[in-house]
Amino acid sequence: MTDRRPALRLDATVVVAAVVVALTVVVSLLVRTDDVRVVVGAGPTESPLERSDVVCPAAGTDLRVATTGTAGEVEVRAGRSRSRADVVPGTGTTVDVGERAAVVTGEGEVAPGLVAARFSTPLAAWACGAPAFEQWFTGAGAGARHTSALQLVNPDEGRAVVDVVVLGADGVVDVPALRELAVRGGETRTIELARLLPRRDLLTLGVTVVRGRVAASMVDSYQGIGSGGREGTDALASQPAPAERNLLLGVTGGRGPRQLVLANPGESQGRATLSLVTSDATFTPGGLEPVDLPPGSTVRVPLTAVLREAAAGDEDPVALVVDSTVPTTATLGMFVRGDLVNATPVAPVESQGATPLPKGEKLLVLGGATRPGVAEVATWDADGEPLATERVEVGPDSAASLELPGRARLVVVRPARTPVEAVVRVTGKGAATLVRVVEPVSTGLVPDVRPAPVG
Amino acid sequence: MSSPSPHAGVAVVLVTHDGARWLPGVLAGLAEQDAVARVVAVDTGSLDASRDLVRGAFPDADLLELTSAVSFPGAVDAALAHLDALPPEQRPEWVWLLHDDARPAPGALAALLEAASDRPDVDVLGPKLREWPSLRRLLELGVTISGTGRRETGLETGEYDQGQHDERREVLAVNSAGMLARREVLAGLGGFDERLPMFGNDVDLGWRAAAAGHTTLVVPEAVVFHAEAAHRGLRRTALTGRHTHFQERRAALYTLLVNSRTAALPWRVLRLTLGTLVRMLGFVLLRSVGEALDDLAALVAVVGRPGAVRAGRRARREQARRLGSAPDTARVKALLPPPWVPYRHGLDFLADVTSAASQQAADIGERRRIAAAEADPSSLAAARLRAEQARRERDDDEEGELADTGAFARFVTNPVALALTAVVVVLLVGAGAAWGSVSGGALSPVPEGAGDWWSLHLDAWHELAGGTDVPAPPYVLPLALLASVVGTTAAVSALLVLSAPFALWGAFRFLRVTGRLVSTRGAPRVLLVGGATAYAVVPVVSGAWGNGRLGVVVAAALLPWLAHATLGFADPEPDRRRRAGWRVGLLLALVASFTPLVWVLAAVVVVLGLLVTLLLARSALASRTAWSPPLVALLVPVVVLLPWWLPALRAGAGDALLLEAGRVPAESLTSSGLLTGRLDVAYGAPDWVGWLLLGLAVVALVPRATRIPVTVCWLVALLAAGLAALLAPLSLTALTTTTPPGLAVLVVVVQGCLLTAAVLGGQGLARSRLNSLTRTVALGLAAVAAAVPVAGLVWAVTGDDALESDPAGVVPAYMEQRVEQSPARGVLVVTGSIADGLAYEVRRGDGVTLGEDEVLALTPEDAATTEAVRDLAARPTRDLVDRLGEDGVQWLLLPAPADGEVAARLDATSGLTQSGSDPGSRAWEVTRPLGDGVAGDGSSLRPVLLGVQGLAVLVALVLALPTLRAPRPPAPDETPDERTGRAS
Repeated sequence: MTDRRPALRLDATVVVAAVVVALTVVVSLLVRTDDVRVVVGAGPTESPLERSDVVCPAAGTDLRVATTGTAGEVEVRAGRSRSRADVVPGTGTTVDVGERAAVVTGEGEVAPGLVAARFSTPLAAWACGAPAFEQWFTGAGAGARHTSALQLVNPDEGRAVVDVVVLGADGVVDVPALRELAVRGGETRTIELARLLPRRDLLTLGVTVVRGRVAASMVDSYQGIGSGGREGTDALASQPAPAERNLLLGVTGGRGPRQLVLANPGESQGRATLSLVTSDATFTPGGLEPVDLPPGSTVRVPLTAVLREAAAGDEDPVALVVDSTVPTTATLGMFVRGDLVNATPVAPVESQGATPLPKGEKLLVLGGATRPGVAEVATWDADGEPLATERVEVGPDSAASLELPGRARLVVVRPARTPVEAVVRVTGKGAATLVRVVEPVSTGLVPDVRPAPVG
Repeated sequence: MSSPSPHAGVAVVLVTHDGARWLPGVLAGLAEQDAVARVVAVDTGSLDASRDLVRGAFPDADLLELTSAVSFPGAVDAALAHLDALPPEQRPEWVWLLHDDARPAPGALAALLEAASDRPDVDVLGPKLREWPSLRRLLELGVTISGTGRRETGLETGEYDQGQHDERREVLAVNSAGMLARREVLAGLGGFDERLPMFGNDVDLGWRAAAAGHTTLVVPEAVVFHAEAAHRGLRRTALTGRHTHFQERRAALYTLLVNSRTAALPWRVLRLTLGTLVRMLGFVLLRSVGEALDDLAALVAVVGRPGAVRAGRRARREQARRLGSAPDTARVKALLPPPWVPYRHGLDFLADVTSAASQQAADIGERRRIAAAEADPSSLAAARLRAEQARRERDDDEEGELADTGAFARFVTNPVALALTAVVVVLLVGAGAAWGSVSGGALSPVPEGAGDWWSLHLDAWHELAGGTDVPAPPYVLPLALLASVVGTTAAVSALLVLSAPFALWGAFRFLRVTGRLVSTRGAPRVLLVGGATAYAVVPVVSGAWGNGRLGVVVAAALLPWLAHATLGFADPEPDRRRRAGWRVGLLLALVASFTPLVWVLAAVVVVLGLLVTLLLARSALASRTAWSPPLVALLVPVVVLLPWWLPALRAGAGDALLLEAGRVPAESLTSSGLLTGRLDVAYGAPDWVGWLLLGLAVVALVPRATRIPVTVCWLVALLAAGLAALLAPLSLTALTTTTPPGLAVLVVVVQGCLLTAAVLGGQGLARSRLNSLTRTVALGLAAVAAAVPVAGLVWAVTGDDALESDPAGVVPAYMEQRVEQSPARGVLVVTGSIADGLAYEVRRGDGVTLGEDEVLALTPEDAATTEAVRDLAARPTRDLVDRLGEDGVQWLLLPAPADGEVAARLDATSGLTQSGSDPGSRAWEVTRPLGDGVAGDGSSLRPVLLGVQGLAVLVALVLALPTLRAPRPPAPDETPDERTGRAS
C-alpha cells in the first residue's frame, strides 16, 4: 500500500513529461541555421579596352607608333599640339612631335594593342607605356660623372601627385622635395637628380602615384671626365615592383665595364645569388659570390671581370638572373661599343608582345619561360612588308637568341604554352641599346561591383 | 448678530420634488427636531405623493406649490419671500434648509443652534453630511473649490465616520442640505444664484458670503443623512438633465469665473482650458469617455457664453456696492484650498493608475483560490484558505510592529532585497561597456537626435542610399519615445545597461507569482533570486548582449513581464481577463516590435492551447471571456504594428517579419545552441553552464507536486524549439548578405522555460518531505543549481563584447558635416579593388544609424546604380558623372587602400574634382549640377496607418488599465423605474 517512491511511478504525467522532454531535445538538436554568406566581390571580368593611353618621354626624336590590333586613327598629344595619325597592323607609323613628351591615345577599336617607342642617336631606346602607379628605377646617378633625370608626364587634365622614395648606398635618403610631388595636368616635369641631391653613390628611385596618373621615365647618362672616361646616354627603364627573381636579358660580352645594381626596398636584410643564363642552361660561374642586401639600400656589384670571363667560354651568356631572399630591384649597366646600355627586368609576354625597332643590327633575346614552349617571331620592314616569321623554342632556365633582319622596324612575339620575356639588342655605329618587347594592353578589367553590406 | 432667544425663530425650508421615496424618513427626522418654529415646504411640481406626505406629517406647514420649472434657488427665494411677507414678529431669525432626500439626525438642529450661540459672529452653519442609506460614510464637512474647479471636501472617497473630523471649523461653504443661515443674511446675499439651478450653488453662495464678510461654520455634532439623489443621477429632472457631471462641472467653472478677480480672469480661463484637457485624459484612462466629453461640453458652455458670466459678475459687483464694502478677498483666499492641491490629486491619480497597472496579476494565485473556495465553501481548499487568512491577519498584526522600523532597517534586514541589490550592482558593473555612446557588432550608432527617429518612423519615403520606401522597423517608435525624454545616446545605453536589472525584476515577479499559482506558499525566496538572476544574464551568456543585438536584449527584459501579464488569462474575474488580453496585446506588440518572431510563437501557443482546450475541456471555453482575451492579445500587435508590416510586404521587404532588431546578418545557431542558450558568436559563455541548466530542468520533472507545471514549461519550450527548427533552414537575403531568421529570441524563450521549470521543480522538491538520501541529493542539486546564476554573473563581468564607444568613420569630417546638413546630398563610398571586387554604398545624413540599417538591408539592390558604379570604376565618362550629380551624390570616396587603377580613371574624368581625404584614400567632388535624386513620395497610406496605430495604442492602453473606479452600487431599495427617473 505504501509506495515509497511515488516520484518514479509510471503514471500518465511521467509518460507525457518524458515524451515532451525527449521531443524538445530532439527538435532542438535539429535546429541548425544556414551559414551566413556575405557575397564578397568576385574577380574582374575582361572586356575590350575602350581607351588606351601610351605615354612617351621627352627624349629621342621621332615617335613610332604601331599596333597589334585593329587599324584606325589615334590621337597624339604633345604639349598643346594635338594631331592624329593612322595606325595599321604590321606597320610602324612615324609621328613628328619634336622633343616633347607625347601621349598617344587610342579609343574604341584602336585602343587594344597600341605600342609606341622613341629612338635617338647615338642609339638609345625610350620605352613608351601606360601610366603606372608604381615604378622602380635602379641605379640612377646624382653625381658629376653619372647623372640621371627623372621625367614625370601627367597625361590627364587634373593634377597628379607622386611620392618618390630614394634608396642610397647607406639606406633611405630623405628628400622632402620628392614627397607629394605635384604634376599639373598635361605637364612634363623633369627632375635632375644631381641638382636636387648631389651625391656620388648609386640611387634607386621608387615612384608611387598618389593621385592622378603619371608615366615616369628616366634618362641616364655618363659624362667622361678625366682620362679614359666613358660617355653614353640611355634610358633607365623601370620595373613595376621589386621581385625575388629578376631576369636581366640582353647581357652582352665585350670589354666595357659591367656593373649590376641591386636595391632592397624592404625593411629586412636580404641576400642575392647571381646566375648567368645561356642558350642551354643557367649556371653560377666561379667568382660570382652572393650579394648582401642591407634593408632600404642600393648595392653596386661590379661584374666586368666575371662577364668577360664567362663570355670567353663556350657559351655566351645572354641573361643574368638575380635570385634574392627579399624582393629586389635590379639593373645591369653595360658599356657596349662604348655606349651605355641599361638592362632591366621586363614584363613577361603572355599572348602577344610587340615593339617598333630602330635601325641597326638586331638580336632578339627570349628568356623567362616557365616551361618548354615556342615563340613565333614576326618582323616587318619600314614599309609594312612582312620580312620573316620564325619559330623559336624556349625553355625554362635557358635563353634563346634570334637574329632579326636589319631592316626590321617592327617585331611581334607570340609565345605559346609559356610566357616569355623578350628584348631586342640593337647595335649600330659605336652605339647599342636594348629595346623591350612589351605586351600591349588589349583588354580592360571591369570590376565586380556590389552594394556594400549595411553597417 | 446675536439672538436673544436662540431656540425661537427657526423656520425649516424643505424643498421637495418627487421625493416620496425619501420623504417619510426626512419628515420623521424633522419631527424629531426640537426648535422648529415653522415649516415652509416648497414643492416644485412633484408628480408623486410628496405634497400629501408633507401635509400628512406637518398639517401646519406652509406649503408653497410651484411648477417644475422652478429651480432650487427659485424655490428658496420663494420661501424667503414667503417668510418676508409675514408680520415682523413672526419672521424667523434663522432659516434651516433641507432637501427632500436629507434626513436630519435627532438633535441636529439643536447642535447647530448651540454652535450659533457659541459663535455669535457666525451667520451660516452646516452639519456633518453622511451617506444615506449607508449612514456611516462621510459625505461632506464643509466644502471648498480648487483652482481647477474640483469640489474639495478634504475627505477620502467612502471614508467612514469615526469622529476623525469632529471639530468645528470655518469653511468656505456648506451644503445647502442642512444649511442653517440667518434669514437676513441669506436674503441680503440674494439667495442662491439662479444661474446655478441644481448643482454647485452652495459653493457659490459660500464664496459670496465669505466675500461679504460672513463666517461659515461646519458643526460636526449636527448630522444630516443625504441621499444625493440628484448628484447620483437617481433623480432626473429638466434641471439636472441627463448629464449630471456636465451640470456639476459647468457650475464649478461658472463659480470660479464669476467670483474671481477681474485681473485673474484670463489666467483662470487658460488654466481651466488646459486643466479640462488633462482631466479629459484622466477620464479616458478611466474609460469614462462620457465624463470626458461632459467636461469639454461644460467648458464650451461656460466659456462659449460669456454673457452669463458677465451677468453673474455684474450681479456680484452690485451686491458688493449694496454692502458698501470691497470683497473680503483675504477671507476667501484663506478658505480656498492651497494651490498645490490639484497637482497632488494628479499625482495620486497617476500613482493609483501605475500601481494598479503593475499589480494586475500579482495576486492571481490567491484570487483563484478564493474564487475556488467561494464556488465550493465546504471544500478542503476553502478551509485551508480560511485558516491561512486567519494566520495572515495574525502575522499582519505582528508585522505591524515591525513596520514601525524605518525603510532602511527593513531593507538591510531583508536578505532578498540585499541579494537582489548585489546582483543589480554586479549587472551594472558588467554592463560597463554600454555606458555612454555605444555601437559595434550588430548595433549601429544612434542618430543625432530623437527627431531623426521620429522622421524615420513617420515618413513613408526615406532619403537613404538611393531612396527607399521600405518602412522603418517598428522598434523605432519606442526608441523615439524614449529618446525624446533622455536623448538617443542615453536611450540605447540605458536599454543595454538596464535591461538585465529590468529582466531580473520581471523574472523575480513572474517566478514568485507562478510559484504561488502552483502552490500556496510559492517558491522559496532563494530559488526566486537564483532563478531571476540566471534569467537576467541569459542575453549576456548567450552572446546576444556582447554582440550588441539590441532587439534580443530588450525582448529578454520584457518577456518575463509579458509572461506575468499572460497569467492574467487565468484570473477568475472576467473583467480582469479582458484587461489582461489588452495588456498582453500591448506588451506583445512592444516585444514583437523588437523581435517579431515572438508574435509567431505567441500565435502558435495560443492556437494550440485553444485547440487542446477545445478537445479536452470544451466547457472551459463556453464563456466568451475565456477564449477572447488571448485572441485580442494576438490581434493587438497586428493592428499596432500595421504601419510596419503592411508597407514592408508592399515594398517586398517581407523578410523583415522574420528578423530581429539590429544589423544583419542575424546570429547563427548551432544544433546545441537552443538547448544551451548560446548563439554562434564569439561573446557567449562556455557551453557547460547551459548544459547544467538543461539537466536541472530535466530533473525538475521528478518532484511530483510540480510535475504538471514543469511539463507545461517544457511544452512551451518544445513549441519554441519546433518553431526554430521550422524557420532555421530559411536563408533570407539582405542586400549582399544571406542571413538566418532572427532566432535568438527563441533561445531566450527556451532558456526562460527551462529556468522556470527548474525553479518550479526546486519548489516542488523544497516543499516535499525528504528523507536523508533524497536530502543529500537535493543538496547536491542545489549546489549545481547555484552554479548557473553564479557562472552567469561571472560571465557578465568578465565576458568580452563587440561594443565600442566611438567607431572611426571612413567619411572625412568635412564631408560628413556637409551631408548632414542636407539629406539629399550623399557620398558614394566605393571600397575594395578591381582584383577583388568593389562594394559601394551611398552615405547620406549622419551615416547608417540604428533603424536605418534595417531599412537599407531590406531595400532591394538597385541594379541600375550597381551598373552605374561598375561603369564608373571601369570606364568613367562625363555622362556617368552627370548621373551621379542628378542622384544627389556630391562626393565620391575610395577609402584606404584606394584602388589606384580606379582612382586614376576617376582622376582623368571631367566633372570630378579631387578633394582632400585621409592618407591612402581618395576623394572627388562632383562638380556637376546636383539633383534631388533621392526624393520620393512613398505611399500616401502612411498617415492613415500611423493614425490607426496611434488610435490602437491609445485604445489598448485604456482598455488594458485595471478598473480603478467600481461603479457606485445602486441603493438597495431602488427600483428600475426610479433609476430611469422622469424626464419632464
